[in-house]
Amino acid sequence: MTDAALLVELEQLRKRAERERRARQEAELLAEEGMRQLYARQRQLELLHVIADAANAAASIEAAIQGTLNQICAHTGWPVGHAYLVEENSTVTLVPAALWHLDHPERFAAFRKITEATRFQRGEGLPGRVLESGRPAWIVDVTQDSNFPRARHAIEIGVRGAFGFPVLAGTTVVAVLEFFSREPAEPDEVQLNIAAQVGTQLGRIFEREQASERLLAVNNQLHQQVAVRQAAQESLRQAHEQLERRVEERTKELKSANAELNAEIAFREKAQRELEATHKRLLEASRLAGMAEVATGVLHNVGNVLNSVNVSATVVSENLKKSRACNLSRVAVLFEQHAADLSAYLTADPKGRRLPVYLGQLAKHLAGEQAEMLKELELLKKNIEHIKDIVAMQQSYARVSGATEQVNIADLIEDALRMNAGALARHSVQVIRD
Amino acid sequence: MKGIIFNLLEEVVTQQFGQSSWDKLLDTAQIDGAFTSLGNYPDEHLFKLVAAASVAMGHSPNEIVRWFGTKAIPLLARKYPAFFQKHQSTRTFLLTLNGIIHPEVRKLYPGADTPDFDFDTSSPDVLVMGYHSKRKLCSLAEGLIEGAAAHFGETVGIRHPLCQHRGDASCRMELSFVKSGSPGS
Repeated sequence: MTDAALLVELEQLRKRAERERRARQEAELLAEEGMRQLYARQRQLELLHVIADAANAAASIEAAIQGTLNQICAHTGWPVGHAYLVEENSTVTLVPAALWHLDHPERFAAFRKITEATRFQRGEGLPGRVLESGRPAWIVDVTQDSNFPRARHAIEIGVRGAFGFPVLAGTTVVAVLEFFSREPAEPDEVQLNIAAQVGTQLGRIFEREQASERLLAVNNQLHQQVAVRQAAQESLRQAHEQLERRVEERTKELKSANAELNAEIAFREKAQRELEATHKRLLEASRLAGMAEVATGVLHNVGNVLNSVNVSATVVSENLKKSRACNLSRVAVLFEQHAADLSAYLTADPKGRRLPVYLGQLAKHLAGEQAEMLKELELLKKNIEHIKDIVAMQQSYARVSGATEQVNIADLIEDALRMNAGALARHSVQVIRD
Repeated sequence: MKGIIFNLLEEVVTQQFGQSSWDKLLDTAQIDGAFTSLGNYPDEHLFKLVAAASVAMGHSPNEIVRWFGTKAIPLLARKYPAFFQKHQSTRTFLLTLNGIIHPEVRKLYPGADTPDFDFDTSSPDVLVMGYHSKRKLCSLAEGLIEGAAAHFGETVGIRHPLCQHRGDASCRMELSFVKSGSPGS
């Protein structure tokens, strides 16, 4: 290889080495940018992680905000962090909270004093702008910003660069966190992006606390309801016990009353039975007395009539004893004796010839006797009718004045059978009882 | 040690003395030299390279390191302009070391073992800076401060009353800045 060829090859090698060097530097730049992004991303994640952990562990929203102020100041190296809270029952007013991160409190004493005396409306100052937009905001230099009222209160407030971001519960801004640097600071989109995420993270705690407050309220209501129900249950239990006691007492009273009633019933049943027995005896006595009375009356009345009957019977009897009817039998004998010559006898015999006259006289006499006895018998018949009337009248009295009583039909039939036992036996009647 | 330091060193050496000088340093130090900015490499590699440069350039290792720091600043300003643009002076720039620059370094280089600085700003004229590092690279810090001062058009006077190299627990540097005209590149 000639020297010229060697020089050419050397130049080629030099160019190749230079290309390789540039390629390496570019690759290094790419790698560095990748590393830078990776680092930034890692720091962001660490920050979010730390804030999330701190927020979850925080006992209150204030503690969570304080932890976030500290973490973001540590992350950014900015010396001042502060929080504004949306005024209670308002969506347009921000009030300063006593929550600060101050690397050097004495250095920022004036700014703190001014801030703690300043409230903001929507759109006013850095916090008001964040409240209005619901988005992070950045100020390069607060001393040069036309909408940063706190810079007008003092010549030197010690802060220059600023950024703020909202804490969002859902879509509602509930707080604004603001951070300040000592030097003017250009907007850092990455930092603002992280701030927005932190704001959302913190918002969760507000949502959680709000939910917790709602839950607590519901819980309190439930407790109150439970207490009311317990009281009602206790009242019910007492009422139940009282009722049971009353039922028990009432049962005792009823048992006692029942026993008394049973005794009363037994007594009354006994009295009833005694009354019935007495009644029966009275009825029997009454019946006997009645019968006796009836018998006496009947006997008296009938006795009177019987005297007349007896007179009539005696008259008839006497008349019959004296009757000449028996003379007819003697006439009959005469006829029998003179049956063969009856006509001669009647015509020729003296006695025989008187016989028809006699018969005529006898007939007249017998007719007189008959009329007299018929008269007497008519009288007798009337007297007998009189006796019958007396008895009938007595029976009607007996029906009118008789007492009504309930009787056992079987006993009644038995009585009737017993009364007629003699007649039944006489007529050979057999009674069959089922 | 992060690869970015070796890359800066390579770039400084190459700018000042050419690619072959860097190759020679690697050969002398017996290091293969395949560094990437995000990689981690033994501190010993840096010390070997500094030692090799010290021999080659005829300066003490601390002087080499200081020179490296001074020359590294323009490269850093080009690579990471955001750290510089916000400042008008070396003083305010240095005051962002702990709060901004080192956190950013740690973003890019997880596990980076950055030195500890502390500042006393009570004097408006003199910035007192404490330095502590197990690597004892206070010379690098001086070089970087000088480079930064040049970037902001200043000259810096550095007193170094306490130094780890002299047995002190940490270094103490007293810095005073004077505007020197137009900013350096």
